[in-house]
Amino acid sequence: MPENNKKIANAGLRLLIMLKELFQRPLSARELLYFIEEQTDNVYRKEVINKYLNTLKILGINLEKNKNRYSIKRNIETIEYDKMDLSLILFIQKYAANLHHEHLKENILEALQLIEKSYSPRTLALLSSKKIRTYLPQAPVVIKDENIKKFEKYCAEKLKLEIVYKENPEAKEQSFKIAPVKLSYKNGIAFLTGYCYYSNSYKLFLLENIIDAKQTPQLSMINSTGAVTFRLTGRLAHSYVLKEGDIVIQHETDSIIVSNSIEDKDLLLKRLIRYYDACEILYPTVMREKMLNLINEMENLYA
Amino acid sequence: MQTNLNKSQAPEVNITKTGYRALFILMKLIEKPLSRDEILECLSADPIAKKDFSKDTITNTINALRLAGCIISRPTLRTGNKYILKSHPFGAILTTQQAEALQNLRENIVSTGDWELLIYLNNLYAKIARLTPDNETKNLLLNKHPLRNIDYKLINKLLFCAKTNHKLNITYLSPQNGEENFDFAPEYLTFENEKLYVWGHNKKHNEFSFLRVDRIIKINSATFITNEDKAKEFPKEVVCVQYKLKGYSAQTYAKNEHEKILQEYKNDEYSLLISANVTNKFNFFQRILSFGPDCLIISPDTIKQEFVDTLKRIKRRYDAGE
Repeated sequence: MPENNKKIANAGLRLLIMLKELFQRPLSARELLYFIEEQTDNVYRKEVINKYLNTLKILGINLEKNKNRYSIKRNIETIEYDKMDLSLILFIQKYAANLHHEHLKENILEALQLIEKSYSPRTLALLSSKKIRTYLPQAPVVIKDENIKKFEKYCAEKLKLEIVYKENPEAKEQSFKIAPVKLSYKNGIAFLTGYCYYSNSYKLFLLENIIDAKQTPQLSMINSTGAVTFRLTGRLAHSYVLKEGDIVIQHETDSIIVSNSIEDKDLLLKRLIRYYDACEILYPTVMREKMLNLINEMENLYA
Repeated sequence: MQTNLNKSQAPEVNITKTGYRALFILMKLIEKPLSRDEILECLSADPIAKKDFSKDTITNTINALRLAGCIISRPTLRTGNKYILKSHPFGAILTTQQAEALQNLRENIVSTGDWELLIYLNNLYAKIARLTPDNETKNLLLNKHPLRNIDYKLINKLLFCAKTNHKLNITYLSPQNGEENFDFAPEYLTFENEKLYVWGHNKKHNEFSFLRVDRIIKINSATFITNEDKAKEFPKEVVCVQYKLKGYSAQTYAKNEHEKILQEYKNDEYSLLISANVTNKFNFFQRILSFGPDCLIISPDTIKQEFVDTLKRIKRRYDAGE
């Protein structure tokens, strides 16, 4: 209990710490008594707990009793959700149910349970009076992540990974030694971000194109990655919005020089080529050459 | 015996008055900041707390709330001598991992380009942000999305004007010329590369083009325009282009609203044949460029030639470069 000399309302504090604990987990009257005694280093009669529980009820705290254990169903501070919010919550629930990424699924569903605890009385009334339909997006979000489970494990275990990968179904197989970093979804398709030890850069792997993956016993470590530097000129220099990993390293009168060390190099090339001749890769030379090769390859399609 | 009977008939008798007071004050402070006198007033009006309390009682109760984990600022002149409850530990709080999982979902929605769904999600996340354990997580839910600098009322206005055939005069923050006013007849909105664009007829350049919504400062006026007048004043040229996609780009292809898949081939090198109604070549070539060598324009020849010229122009930059 209080260690400083400030005067406090002790019974008030006891009720508050009991309330705090009830938000965390269901507890029986006996467990609550032990908890309070442990917290206050004092002994109390068991009737005290009844008194405290009564106080909570009188103040409108929604206590639920299940198998002799008390829990609290609603937050003290509630939030007003409208019909669209509730419809989106159903959409999120459906989305999570379709995920094979167990950890992500679990966290989203747990988050929804907590959100439900914050429903205001008006939100509850809305729920019981109207049929809430699941939000329908412009196009259905189709999840493609059937083989994600093992990569979820690889990311958690943080061991180096040897993978055989095909850039696309027709491409040649390539081998990579990577540190698995994270899993993400783009347009419903699952990707693995890995730090590639050969190219000293991050690479985004389409999960369905990974032919084989083997864990090595070595712990994965990520070295500082090589940066790509590019100059943006004209209107673009004035309107450019920095992307993840971008740093402006120089401002000139009508241009800026940007460095990026995070983005997948192949995807970065595809992004930078969109800027037409308002963008030029300055460094490293190998990336300049790659860009030229990319343009030549495209040009040759029409030769 | 009599006492027990009283307790069962009036449950408020068997309560802890000090505890009741603490929780009562907490609930009042959740509603709004209150001064000590205002708290005393609320307590004396409450049928259960009833009696008048001393100012010290309030101080002791506030101390108990703080010790239980509430962050309550000191009453100062600047805050009108009010206690402000900044946070409290009573309630279900999202963990950082749970908030990150919700963010993972939002990032997926961003990649689909469904900006309407993104706006609704952002509104929901802004509410949920109140359930976060710290400012960093709150910031993640509130601000980590590409539409953070956009006024949603402006989006609604643009959509309304597009639907009801209105020509607008807008103030736009041009990257090169700064603020400028011009007439613009909006038609639809798109979300590409994490930016929201409004497409329409730009009177200044006399072309069908797109503007970044976050650069529209304000709408100065809106005038109704008939379809006939619109066609005369703002002619729109649409070119139908066909292209094929293969490999990674075909696997990850996300259709936009002016494209349709004409055919899917199972055993061909190119697995998708797509038809696009092109109103702005600059934007269309941007899309084609991003597919790299996975994309082959089939027709018309004029577009193919223009695309090759574009490639040559980009290449010259490297030939002339350092």
